Parts: sequence; C-alpha cells; structure tokens
Amino acid sequence: MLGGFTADVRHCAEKEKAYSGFVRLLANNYGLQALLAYRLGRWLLRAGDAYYLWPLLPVCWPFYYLLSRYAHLAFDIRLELSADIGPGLYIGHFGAIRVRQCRIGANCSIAHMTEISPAADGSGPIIGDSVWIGAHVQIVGSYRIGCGATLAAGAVVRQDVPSAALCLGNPGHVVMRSYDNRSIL
Amino acid sequence: MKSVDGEVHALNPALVTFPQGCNRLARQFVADARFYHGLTRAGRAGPWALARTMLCNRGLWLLTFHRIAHYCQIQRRVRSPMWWLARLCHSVGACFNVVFCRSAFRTDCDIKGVVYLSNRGYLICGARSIGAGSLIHERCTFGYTVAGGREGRPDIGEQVWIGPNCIIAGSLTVGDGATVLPGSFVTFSVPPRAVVKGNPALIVRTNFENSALRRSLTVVQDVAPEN
Repeated sequence: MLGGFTADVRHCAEKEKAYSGFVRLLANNYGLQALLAYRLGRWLLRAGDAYYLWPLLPVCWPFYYLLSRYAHLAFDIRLELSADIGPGLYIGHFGAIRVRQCRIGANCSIAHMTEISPAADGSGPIIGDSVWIGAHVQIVGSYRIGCGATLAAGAVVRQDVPSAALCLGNPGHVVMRSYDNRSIL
Repeated sequence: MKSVDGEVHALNPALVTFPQGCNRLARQFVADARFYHGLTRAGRAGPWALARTMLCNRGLWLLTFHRIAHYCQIQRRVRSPMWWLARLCHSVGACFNVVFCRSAFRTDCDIKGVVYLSNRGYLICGARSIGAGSLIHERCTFGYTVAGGREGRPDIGEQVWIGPNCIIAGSLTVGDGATVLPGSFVTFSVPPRAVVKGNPALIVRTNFENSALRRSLTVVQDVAPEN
C-alpha cells in the first residue's frame, strides 16, 4: 500500500508544482484522496491472508468504506477494488471517473470523465506502463493499450492500441505510430 | 446586457441599488438570475418563482461563485475588507462548486456578461474568456493543451451554443454565434456563425443562426444542411 501510494504522491508532486508539501498536495488534489482510499482497500484485501493482521480488519474496512464513499459522493471518482492499478497513477481532475476490473500499469495519468471498464462478458482492458489518458476517454471492453501510448481527449477506444501510439477520435484511430508523451505524462 | 427578449421581470437591474463595493457583482447576479429565469422558468412571474430560480439553479450558483473568485483574482493587489469577504465566499464556493456542481473553473477565466452554465454540472473550464449570451451544456471541458504545438487556452465568443459532452482544447477562438454540436472535440478556431460537429470536429455548416437554440434548453444532435 505504502509503496504504491508513495509513487502516486511523487507523480502528483511532479505534475502540480504549485503545491509544496504532502498535506497541501493531498488537500488540493482530489484524485490523490481517492487513490488513498483505493490503496488502503487493496492493502486490506491482501492483509486478509496474514492472520496476524486480522485484528486490524474490522477497524480498517469501515474506514476504507467511508473514504471511498467520500471520494464517490464528493468528487464522483470511483476506483473500484476489482481494478489492478500500478504505482504512480495521477488523476488530473475530478468528476465521473470510473475505473473497474482492469489492469493499469505503472506511472499512468488519467483525467476527468474517463471510463475504464469491462465489456458485458466481464473481460476488462489491459493498459501498459506510462500511458497518458485524456479527458472523456472511454475504454470499454477487453482492449490492450501498449506501453507509452497516448489516448487524446475524447477518444473512444474500439481496437487495440500499440505501444507509443497516439489514438484519437470517436471511434479511436491510431494517428501516429511513435508519439513521445513524456512531456505531458 | 443581453436578456431574453420580451419579458418583464420584477427585478430590473437598472432600478435596484446595492451598497458600494459589491455593486457590480450584485448587479451581475441579478442580470444572471433574469437570464436563468427566462431560460428555465419562462412565463412565470412573481417573487416565489424568482426565489426558486435563484435557489434551485446550481448553474447560477456556480456562475456566481465563479464571479466572486474572479473578483478575488483581479482585485488581489487591493485587499479591502470587501476583498476579504469575497475571499471567504470563494473558499466556501470552491468546495460548493466541486461537490454540488462537479465543476471547476480557473479563477482567471473572464466571463464577460450573462451566460448560462448547465445545472447538471461536470464543467471543467480553463478558458481564457467566455463571451456574453453563451449557452453551455453539461459535461464540457474547455482546456489548455501542453502538447501538439497548440499550447494555450481557448477564447469562447459571444452568443455561442455549446452542447453537452464537448471538449474545446488549445489556443483557439470560438467565433461569435458559433454552434458546437454535442460530443465535439474542437482543436481549431471556429469562424463566427459556423457549426462544428464530430470527434475530431469538422465544420458542417457556415452562417447558421443559433438564436432559436439559445432561447431554450433543448439539445439538438444535428442541424439542417445548408441549401
């Protein structure tokens, strides 16, 4: 839990240089608050395996529930525990973010009104490392997004996106095969 | 001020006076309230209907709190007692806008007159300016880009109709009287009175009169082609 969340905070601090210090960062970035709840929940899921941590669970699960409800009700950010999110996620804005039953690699960046969810048959998308996902992006279905890919704002993914590609439009097309997203990540 | 035509309301901004200092903000609030009243509760008069307009439109609250925040931004060198009061309102209003309107406006976004912001929220606005008489529906994003050679923030013109689910990003100008149809992703400057549609957007019509669209809150998906 701590390792993943530390990476989130580091990525967030890189993106938002206006806020110095952990408390100001956490207070001003709503995505970080939602990620705190998510990381806690994932840690509690794994803590069930270790019998010496069982006394913590009845205390911590209600706390997780409160935190995730808060992120859902106040900011409409829903990071469900069925999603497997790698360390260092950055959530740019708040509002209508829904991430469930998918796999997201390390050091990704997502924005508001993004939906990453499985198709009706239950198979979710798999997203690589260092992927930049813009606002209003929909990835619904079992698509594979390669490492270092960039999904421009408003893209609706309907096919697999190769590594380092730039995907744009509705339905999403790959418009560039090699696009360097390190400056915006 | 551009108001909805042909309607007489009890609150005439020319007749109401307010204490010095918050005069412009209060006048602007009354003008906004009249505009919202004409759009959402047209034809109903009386103090009860006006009070409901002021209290029940989340978009009006969003707009008002944004104006207070913008006042704080432009007056930050002159810290009068009124400025501190506005700063307090801004602190409360920013939280209100996030939680109840699900919206965020950059404080330096200049709204130049009465506009309609959707009551359904989800507006993320980083525009440099928005012109008077514009109608903006829910789930829109006006953003700045940092990549692709179009670094900068958009300028929205006067009397623009912007449908739901639109994204307008980059250093561009949406011309006066333009229409942005629902679900568009605009990355180029839109000429005045043009209609854009699609993701990525294309100009589907020029010289379209959108005053009929701006008179009500109905959402159209498409416009008739040019003859």
